[in-house]
Amino acid sequence: MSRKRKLMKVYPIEENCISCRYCEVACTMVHSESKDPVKAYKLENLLPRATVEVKEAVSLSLMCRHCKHPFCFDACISGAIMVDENGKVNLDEEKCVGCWNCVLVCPFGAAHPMIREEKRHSFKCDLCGDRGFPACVEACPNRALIYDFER
Amino acid sequence: MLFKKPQVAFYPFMVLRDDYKCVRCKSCVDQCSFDATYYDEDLNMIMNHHENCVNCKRCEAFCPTDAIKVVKNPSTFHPDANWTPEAIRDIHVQMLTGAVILTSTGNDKPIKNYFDHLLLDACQVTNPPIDPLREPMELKTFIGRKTDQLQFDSDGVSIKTTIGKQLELEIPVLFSAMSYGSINLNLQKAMAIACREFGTYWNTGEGGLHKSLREFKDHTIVQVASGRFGVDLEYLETSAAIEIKIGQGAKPGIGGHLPGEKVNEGIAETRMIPVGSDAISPAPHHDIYSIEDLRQLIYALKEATNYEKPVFVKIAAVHNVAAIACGIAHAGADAIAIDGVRGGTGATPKSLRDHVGIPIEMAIAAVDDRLRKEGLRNEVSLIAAGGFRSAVDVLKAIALGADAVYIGTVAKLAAGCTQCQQCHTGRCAWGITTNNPKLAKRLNPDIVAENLYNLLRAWAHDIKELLGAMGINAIESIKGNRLRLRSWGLTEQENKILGVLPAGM
Amino acid sequence: MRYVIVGNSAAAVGCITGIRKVDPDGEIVVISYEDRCYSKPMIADVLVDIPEEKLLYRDSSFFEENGVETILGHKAVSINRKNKVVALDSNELVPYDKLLIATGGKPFVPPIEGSDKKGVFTFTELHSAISFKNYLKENGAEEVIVIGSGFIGLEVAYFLREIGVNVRVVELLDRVLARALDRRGSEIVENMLREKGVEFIFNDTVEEIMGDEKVSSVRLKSGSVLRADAVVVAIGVRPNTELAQTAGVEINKGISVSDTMETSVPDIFAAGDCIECTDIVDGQKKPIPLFPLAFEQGFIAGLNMAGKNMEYLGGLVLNSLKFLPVPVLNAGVVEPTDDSCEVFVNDKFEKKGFYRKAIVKNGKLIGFIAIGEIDRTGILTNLIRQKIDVSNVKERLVELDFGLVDLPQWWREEKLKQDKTAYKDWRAF
Repeated sequence: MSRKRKLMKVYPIEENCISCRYCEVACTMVHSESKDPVKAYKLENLLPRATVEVKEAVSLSLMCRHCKHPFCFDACISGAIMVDENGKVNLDEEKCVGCWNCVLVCPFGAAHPMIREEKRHSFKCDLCGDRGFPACVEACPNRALIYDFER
Repeated sequence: MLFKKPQVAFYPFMVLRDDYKCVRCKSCVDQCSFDATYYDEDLNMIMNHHENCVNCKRCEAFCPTDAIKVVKNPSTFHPDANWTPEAIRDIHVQMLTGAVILTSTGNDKPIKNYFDHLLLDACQVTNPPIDPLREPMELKTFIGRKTDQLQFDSDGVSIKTTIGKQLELEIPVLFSAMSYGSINLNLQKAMAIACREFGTYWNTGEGGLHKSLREFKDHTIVQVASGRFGVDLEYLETSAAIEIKIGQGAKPGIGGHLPGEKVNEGIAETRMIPVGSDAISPAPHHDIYSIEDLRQLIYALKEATNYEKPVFVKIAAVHNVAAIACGIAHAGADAIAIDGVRGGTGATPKSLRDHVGIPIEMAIAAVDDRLRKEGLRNEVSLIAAGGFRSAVDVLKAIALGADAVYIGTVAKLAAGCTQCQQCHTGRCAWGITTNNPKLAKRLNPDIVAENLYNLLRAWAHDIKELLGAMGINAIESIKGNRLRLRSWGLTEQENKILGVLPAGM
Repeated sequence: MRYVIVGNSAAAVGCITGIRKVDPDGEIVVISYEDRCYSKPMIADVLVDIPEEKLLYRDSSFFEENGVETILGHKAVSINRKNKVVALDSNELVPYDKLLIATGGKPFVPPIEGSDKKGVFTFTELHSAISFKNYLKENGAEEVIVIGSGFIGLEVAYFLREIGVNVRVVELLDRVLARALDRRGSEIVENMLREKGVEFIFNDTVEEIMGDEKVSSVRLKSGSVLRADAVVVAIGVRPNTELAQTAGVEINKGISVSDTMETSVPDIFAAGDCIECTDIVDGQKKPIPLFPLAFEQGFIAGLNMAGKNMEYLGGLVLNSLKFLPVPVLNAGVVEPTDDSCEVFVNDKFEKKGFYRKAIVKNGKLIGFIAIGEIDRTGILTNLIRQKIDVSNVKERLVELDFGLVDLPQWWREEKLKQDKTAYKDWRAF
């Protein structure tokens, strides 16, 4: 059988989500050069990798689920999306050619298109790889995101 | 303002937004529950209906880039000591609606706060202070009927006397009655958890006890009010004590009204009324017109619960509070709760909130005095309520003669409340005084329970420090010990009522 | 266990990935007449000089890490099912225990007179793309005729404009991408290409390719003769079943396979553009030559070859137009299939730059188009895949903020809380 996966990922708890968008802004900020939320949006033209959805009383923050079977990995024509030994799904933005197949197949809508003059690529949650701990989880004021072992 | 009455333009608050710092995350749009903030897609800007802003500061708190400040509208009326903006706006509201002005929370008028005029004593040289971090310090408080004297067995050691059921508090602070309906289940649950962890009690208010909270039975005081909502034998038994509510400091002499549109399934089930029906608590209990009637209810409840539950009676502090309190003691109550003029509420006519009742400090002193004079003080515990802000207020109240203190507003503040006085609208943006599921989920019971626990812990530390400074190692020793209080800036008459000496004497 | 894979593209890589999930040790051999594992959907990018390394789909380290032996530059010419060997054009025999045929598709070239002249190209393989580019350079081509306005044809046309070559697209039907998009979608795409300078000739076809040795012009059915320094035939692809035929496997429109991707011959599996698969929208078996499906099928074949039983969910049409500045996506069907279909349209292309259309049948989404704003459309794709009832939210399907909150609560419970995201968890309901 395959190797045992040991993956921690972010789980949203919709009962606690208050749709405050802290996760979105924290995500954009930590993925910016400037590490400043205003500059991240306004100068670096970044977008969040987490999406807050709201419909009446139901709301939740949604980011890459690092699926056990990632459709995006199947669909990626450039080899930019790879799954590591723990099951973490990585998207190499440099390698990505912007074919949008991942956007088209992700059942969670967690792979997003970046369509700008200067850059065209998909982007998605990287579990804050360099940072060590997901920024969205740290920013959430109502414990609606938890960082936990894969279920 | 187009399509609005001219007076609407004189709104009190404004939302200022630093448009450069705004990243259009739309958090504020979603957080605002008063329709004061919206996003204009064509302009790609966040805009405001300032006239709807209630200064709840939810948007301000949840702006990730600190781009928002809610401020007083700088445009105001001509300065006038009598015709204040509030007075003028109230006229505008009433001339447009023809209705009583409803409001919530506690009295916001500058009624003299006597706690601020009382000072505590400390030990110097001739008697030593105690360091609470090194020596044991006792805050444990028992609420319930005490005995006048102890009888011993022939061995002279074992006590023969038995006393009735007591509530055991680790701190002389309890959470006051806030009903499910006026607040939501999440805050009730948070209080219940905090009480279980810390060792004190919360009060259901008149809205019954939701089944999900029955596990907190041993830390729950169940209320029986004039509407008798949610009262059955199981309810009475799922408790540590029962409280008969006669009145409330924020609205003495009137009843309550939970509008039908707020009565959802959970509330309906808990209150034992149909979904969508108005829950009206009458002004009086229709079976209580005298102390004798009250005694009947007290003993009916005691009988029903096999004399296992202490029975409290809660009244508003009104002019003849001392005489009424004595009556209550005679009627057989185990504790009297008195709610002062600064007491809070989820909904009340503004005129009642601000102008009816007397300050709790006066009420404690008067009731304690009178009970002592009548030889009833041991028969009954005295719980003070209404506007307590800090551990110091609590300690001063105990020194004046209370056994313990009820806090309500403090619990709300610990849950995020910013005192915007909109509880009655059911649109609380902080998810406290609302049962709208979208808003109520903003209050995470686990987080708030931790906050409340921290708060109780902090207050316990505060009280211990103050007691230590006074050289006292048990809260029991300061109870009614007005000699350890001095006043400043009060008249002779006020000092006399409070039973304290002015500073310097 | 010795696994042999003929082909070296999406299905092959999927198969290797699948095998290695189950069997870390078995021998794997990949046979391909091409010299590297490049990304087929990206070959048109050669025209705009995409860096070589970007074309690579998997580099040699992938094969090394997975312990795959590669036989490149040799074509597999026949299969002996009895002896379980594959014969190469070098006469070498490669024995197998489990074989995957992933020979892909071959371009369809209609019988046009003169189509054998120099300067006529198809566009499904890297070498043909490179020779086309070289031909353009060597001959200083200025005018190119593209036959067919499918994805490949339009992409070639677009990139040719990018490098300053004039292009005319000749299309038999009356609009572009007629099989993939609805009329409105075609119009939007056509306008974008016209702005880029591509010319279109609809309702017409090339009857003759003229010139001496090299192509110089084409004659259309309508009679007009157009200058053509080169011609690209981009009408479509057909399953390449030549190799499969030598093994005697059952072939219909493509190689016929079971749910486990096994052909009618035991131990021979097939995946990718060479097979016919079940379209989950209409339940019909047909070739759906698409990259994501090829990978998926290869992956499932790999699992089954290595002994882990897994059924294929079936495929569906998934298209993405990657070369236009404005993205164009579609999945499933794009026109109502019968009167019972409900169509929802949100067309704000002129005002806000997006167009969305959804087709619902019997309460289930069966297809959509998204142009301009494409974020989170995968949610819709999954609704098609899982056949989830959308009756209550059908009007919302074409809204940009359609999301998981519009899905039933049980779905979020299962997918988010319980994390049921393994392949079998996505089975249709």
